[in-house]
Amino acid sequence: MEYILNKSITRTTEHSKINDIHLDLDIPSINGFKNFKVSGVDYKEYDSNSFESRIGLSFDKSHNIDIEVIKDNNILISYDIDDILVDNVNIKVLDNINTNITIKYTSLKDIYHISKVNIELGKNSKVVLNYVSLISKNSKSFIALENSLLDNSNLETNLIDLGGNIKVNNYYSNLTGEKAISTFNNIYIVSDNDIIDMNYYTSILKPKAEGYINVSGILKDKSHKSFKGTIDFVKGSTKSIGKELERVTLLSEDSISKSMPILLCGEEDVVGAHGVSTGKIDKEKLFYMMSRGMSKKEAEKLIIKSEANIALKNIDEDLYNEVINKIDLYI
Amino acid sequence: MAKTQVSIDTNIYNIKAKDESILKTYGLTEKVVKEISKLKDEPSWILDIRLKALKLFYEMDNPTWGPDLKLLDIERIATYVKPNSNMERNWEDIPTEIKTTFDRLGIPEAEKKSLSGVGAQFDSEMVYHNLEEELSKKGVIYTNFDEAIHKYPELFKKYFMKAVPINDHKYIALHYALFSGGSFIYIPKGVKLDMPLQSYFRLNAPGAGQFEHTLIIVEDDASLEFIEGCSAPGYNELNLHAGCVELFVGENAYLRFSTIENWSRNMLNLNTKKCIVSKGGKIEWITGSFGSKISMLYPLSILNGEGATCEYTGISFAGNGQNLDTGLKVILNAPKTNLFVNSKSISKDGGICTFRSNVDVKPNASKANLALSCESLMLDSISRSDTIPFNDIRCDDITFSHEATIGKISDDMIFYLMSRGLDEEEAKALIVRGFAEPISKSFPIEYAVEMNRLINLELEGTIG
Repeated sequence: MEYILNKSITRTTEHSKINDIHLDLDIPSINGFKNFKVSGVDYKEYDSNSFESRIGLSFDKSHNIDIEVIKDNNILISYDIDDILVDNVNIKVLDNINTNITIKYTSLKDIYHISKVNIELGKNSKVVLNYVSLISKNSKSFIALENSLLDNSNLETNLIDLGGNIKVNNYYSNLTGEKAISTFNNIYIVSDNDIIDMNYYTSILKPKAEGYINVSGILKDKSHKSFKGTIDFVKGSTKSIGKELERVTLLSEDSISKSMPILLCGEEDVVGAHGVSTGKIDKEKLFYMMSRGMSKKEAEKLIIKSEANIALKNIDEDLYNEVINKIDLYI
Repeated sequence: MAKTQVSIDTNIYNIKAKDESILKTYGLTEKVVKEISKLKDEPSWILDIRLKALKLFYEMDNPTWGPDLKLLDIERIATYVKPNSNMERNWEDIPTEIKTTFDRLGIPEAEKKSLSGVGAQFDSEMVYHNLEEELSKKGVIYTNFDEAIHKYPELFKKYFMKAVPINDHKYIALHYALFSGGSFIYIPKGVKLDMPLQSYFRLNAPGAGQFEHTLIIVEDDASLEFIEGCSAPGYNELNLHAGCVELFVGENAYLRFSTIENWSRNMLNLNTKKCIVSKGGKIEWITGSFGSKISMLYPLSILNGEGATCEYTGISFAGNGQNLDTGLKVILNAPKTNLFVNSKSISKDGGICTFRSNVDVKPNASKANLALSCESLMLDSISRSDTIPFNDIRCDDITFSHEATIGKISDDMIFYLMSRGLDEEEAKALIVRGFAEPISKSFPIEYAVEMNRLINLELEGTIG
């Protein structure tokens, strides 16, 4: 069945083929799901008969976890997927909470993963949310992350996307509070004929808020990447800051890199910026490292891992090593 | 190059000449298309193109992106307006009403002092075309488009519709059904013009459309600077501009295509421009967009030869009721090609500026070098300024950077200038002019003066 997914709110020419992604998918039927663990917080688990995300996929069954964060504990949610998982994680963080939440997905087999995480931050709360996908290489992954931030809250979302050969990611951030700060860091690697489609949107609604989108990716072989990133300064977002940065490292002349970094501005007194850089690994960096005794391959690996650090600085050591091992497998 | 100052009255653009047109057709039907073709005594293959385009126009949809074009009702547009003048090579032979309009726009004066040749179009037809005799002797052709069909049929057939196909989009189909007027320019191999050529397009009749076609061929090692001016007086009904520009830049040739567009605020400006650049050739687009109700304008450069270069320098200024959706498209289709973009926009009084780009880097564009920079200035919080770039990169061995910024006038800068004796309004106006300066200095001096006057006109009473 053909699906038209991840529709961009701001449209551009149809021949660019970046507004949406068209995919033929054969999604298996959904069974019940029990293979998960939650630590560091009380939670409510239940099956729901409706699931929708901004990606455009909807189902009549999903596995839901609701969490209310009332203490500063670190939280870990982990899923091990057998065939298909449609999951919906709702997190509510109360005022003045400072916490670190990690959600990790793994699979041994090739699976379908349709995921939605919605997080609401209360006033003055500060949260790091690590979303780590380490599912198997030929899986299909559809990740939708949403958040809304009240006054003075600060959310850093790190999407570490290292699984799947079809990856559709959506991020929607609503800065509804004054001085709220949302930072989204995303790293990915695609190889072979993999496809990744990213649609990231930060809507700044109140004064003195800050929204950042930082995406860093590696394209190998005949992989195909589409990036749609939007910073939207809505009227009333006076004295706010919004920036997006996309860095793409091309390891193949056959890969395709499409990007549409959008800035929308309906407010006068704001600072908005975007930057895109695309190219091979910096030759000067390579030369320097090779002059220090590294082989070209080792030097390349080290540079790529350093690029990944934007999203890895707030995960624990074991998970860090797991992620690095996965990166090694790709490169 | 000789330089001169052209004094331009800020109200000249809105002066309405008495409508003395001798023929007007309304709407878009087969009958209208055939009538235009018959009037021009065209060969049958041109009529065939027009009829094919007519069919395509009605088959194609409006774009699903950008400004809403539903307000355009083609049945209410005067699709062909024949002025009461023939094509002349002497200003004195042109009827007074039309000549006075161009006098006020400063065109004949500019021709005397700083141009190699001038073309002037009034509504649907060229009324004046002239080129320095010395350049004619070197083989340079600068004539009106209709004349080129008959006088240079082989050259015409070789290049016409080769850059812009008939099915590119709905409004290019409209153009090919109705095209009338425009300039045809041929610069032979190795000929370098010291002074620019200028074509000026004036749309005078209320509710009319203008569909001129400009075709420029700059052969290998040749060089040309071309200036396109556009304006219209304001009316309460919609006017439409759906022109087409096709440019061909030969090996190691150079073409600078400058436009100052100041259409009236009742104009839909849906122009299409494309340039094909050969090995080592260079196209420079210099664009100032000030007028129109809606503009959708994205000149396309196809860099087909190794080392070919495109430079785009553009400024848009949108005020109350204006939606200017502008930018560029580039295809890098050969090794060592270059793209440099410097775009600026200013929005005020509820105006909407959108920068939209489309950059395609093909697999064979190794060692291409791309640097794009967009800056937007918002003068109030009821306006909009959007940046929508699209990049499709299929080559790993390139250098690519794209930067965009949106901001307001810095309070610190205003404070500094006020501490030096300027009042707040003067300080803000000075900063806006400074913001636009890198663009205005790309124009020949007399047109930079015109652009600065347009900026001043836009700023009057709106800042402070």
